[in-house]
Amino acid sequence: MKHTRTRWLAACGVAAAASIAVAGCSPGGSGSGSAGTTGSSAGSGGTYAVTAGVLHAFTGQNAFFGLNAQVACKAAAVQINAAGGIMGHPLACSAYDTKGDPADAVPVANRMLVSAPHLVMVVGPDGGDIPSVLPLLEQSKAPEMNTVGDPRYDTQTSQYFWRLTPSDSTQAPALAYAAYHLGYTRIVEVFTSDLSAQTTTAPFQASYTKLGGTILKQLTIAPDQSSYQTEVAAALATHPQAIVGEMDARTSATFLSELRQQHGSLIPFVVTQRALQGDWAAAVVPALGGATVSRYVTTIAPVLQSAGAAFKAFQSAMTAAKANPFQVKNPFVAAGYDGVIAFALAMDAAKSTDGSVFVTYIPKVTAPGSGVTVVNTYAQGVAALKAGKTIQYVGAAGPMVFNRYNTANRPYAEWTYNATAHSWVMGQALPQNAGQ
Amino acid sequence: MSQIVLSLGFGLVTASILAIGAVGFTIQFGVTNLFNLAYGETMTVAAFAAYLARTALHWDMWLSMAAGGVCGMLLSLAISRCVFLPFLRRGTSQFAMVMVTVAVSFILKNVLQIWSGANFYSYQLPPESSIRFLGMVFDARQLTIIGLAVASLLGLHLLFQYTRLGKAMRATSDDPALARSVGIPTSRIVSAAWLLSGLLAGLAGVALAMDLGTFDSTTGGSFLLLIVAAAVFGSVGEPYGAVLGALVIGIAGELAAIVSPNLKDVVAFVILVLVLLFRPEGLRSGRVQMRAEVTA
Repeated sequence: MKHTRTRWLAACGVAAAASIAVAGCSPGGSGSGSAGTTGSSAGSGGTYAVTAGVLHAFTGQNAFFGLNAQVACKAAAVQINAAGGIMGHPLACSAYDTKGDPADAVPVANRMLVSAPHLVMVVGPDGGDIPSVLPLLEQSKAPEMNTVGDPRYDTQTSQYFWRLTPSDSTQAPALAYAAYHLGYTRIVEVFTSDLSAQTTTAPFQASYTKLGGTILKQLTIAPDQSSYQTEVAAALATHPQAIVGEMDARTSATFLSELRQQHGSLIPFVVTQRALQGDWAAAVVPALGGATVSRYVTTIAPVLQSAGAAFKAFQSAMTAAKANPFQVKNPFVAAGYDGVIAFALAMDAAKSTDGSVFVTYIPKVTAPGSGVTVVNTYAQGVAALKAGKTIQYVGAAGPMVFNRYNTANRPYAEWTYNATAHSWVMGQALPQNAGQ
Repeated sequence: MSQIVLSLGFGLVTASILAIGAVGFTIQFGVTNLFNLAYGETMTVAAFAAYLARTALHWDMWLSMAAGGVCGMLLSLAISRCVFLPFLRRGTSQFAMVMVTVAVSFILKNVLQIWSGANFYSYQLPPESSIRFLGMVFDARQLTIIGLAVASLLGLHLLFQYTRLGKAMRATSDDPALARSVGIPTSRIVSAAWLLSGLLAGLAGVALAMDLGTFDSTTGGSFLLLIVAAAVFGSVGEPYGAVLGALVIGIAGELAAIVSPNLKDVVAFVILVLVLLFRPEGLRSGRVQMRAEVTA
């Protein structure tokens, strides 16, 4: 009996090993080609699906990055596939979880590069992961789009790097401009010590003092501490008109709660685009109350269109992708959605899904110019290209005009929280190049 | 000077939460000799239990905190009975046991993350007016947390000094075999230690979530390092030492923030390293009363 069972187990083991081996050798997509191929010339056969790898944190504290990027990709795929796909190939979005850790991001990126069927673009990664992952993507000629703010990439020269939102070096002057023009000429600056916040501090100080403002105190605080009471007391001791800076969700909730406790009420807080990320309001609003956030907090973030054909198409695709209402009003989600569509149109224009070929077409389908046909959806873009026209794709987040270093600079606006609608509402747009 | 006094007050609040948590951690270690790194998740589960009591059952905050404490007790006992004890009975090494506690911590954290949807939660407590006392500033809730810490620690002192259960705990901690030979039901005493430790973890978790204003599935785990530091500072297994450790770490952190907020944890841990350098067993070494091998 025991002998029989051993043979049975051995047979099962062999069968399992064989099935794993077969699976490893079988095509990854639904058509021709093998897993892990990064793009190919158009018409190389079949109607196989092409993949957008969403390389982001999907777990841990930065999970909102991945969730936002994934829904942006899915919404774009809805629109692209409804128009027949990219040269007939349907687009699929596959998630790859970096956990927000650069050490984890490298093997995950490698796994994506070798296993994603017909990988044509990468959505992500975020600021913490990009230094470790970008060389791998360049080596594989996989174009990626990101929303990192790090000014170190302001003059980068990789043709596979495409930044869809402005650098922190332009966000900081906009923040300074907004704070000053809101009437806050004596402020305390509070930034957390993490990289994404720290890249804003120096340009902010330069811009704000140049405008004539006085920084009464500069505080760099460690994120996620159990208390900031001493820091709050030090800030309040200088009697500022406002606090200006950037803090993650949990830190903001604790810092601002303690600020309110010591001061008796909140004082105005002007914060970077970090507040528009999904987790911020979810953490801060319950701790302070929607009415308090609405009254005292102003966020400086890129402009998002809220009307027109592009926004309607975006809204419709987001609904189909089962996005939540906050994501529909998030300019970073809109920028990601626009990025995927722009990349797809670049493939159509290049008549190739090969990354090394179509990257040069990305600025060609997004740049303004005389005689260009402005298109607001993927279907419009494909039709115009087929008609032999030169196009400029203007999506839900507005024009996406890349500079020579592949960064799309966009105007900023003041956003405030609407306690009734439980969402951020875009207010007055700041002048182009505000504070610079 | 006024800033130093202010920071002393702020440090007292942090130290109070730390003290409740560190004493619970150290009592459990003292009786079971198990370095339980899933303690932080017990705090988090209790914080969520209090949240449910407050939002679903509309209980008062302090009653919700009691619910959190009870939840901590039950979870602590359940984990010890269902997970840790079977390993200990098989003679699993101490190092492997630490890894088991890490595994339990990961499981609880991830289950919580799935359940909570990686969202933030808040008890949504209304703002309270400040109360000035000897140059320090508190609100009523913070004073209650300090009071709770004092009451808990006083209660534990009375328990250990004047009750049969407390004396049996100390005896079991000192020498479980000898305790058994004189008729002390050490198995029940170990269970009582888990319950007591879980109660304190629960209270600390809810107090922490109240003080932070918002919490998520990682809140307790991220506070664990400070709790362990306070326990180690005062000699692990020594409740009074843990209180001392909590006071030093809580207050030193706030005082350091006057110079630079980035020095907060640095100063606390530099003090810890220095203490361990000169007194490897912690500040109250030689007075350890709760240290034993679990044999239940």
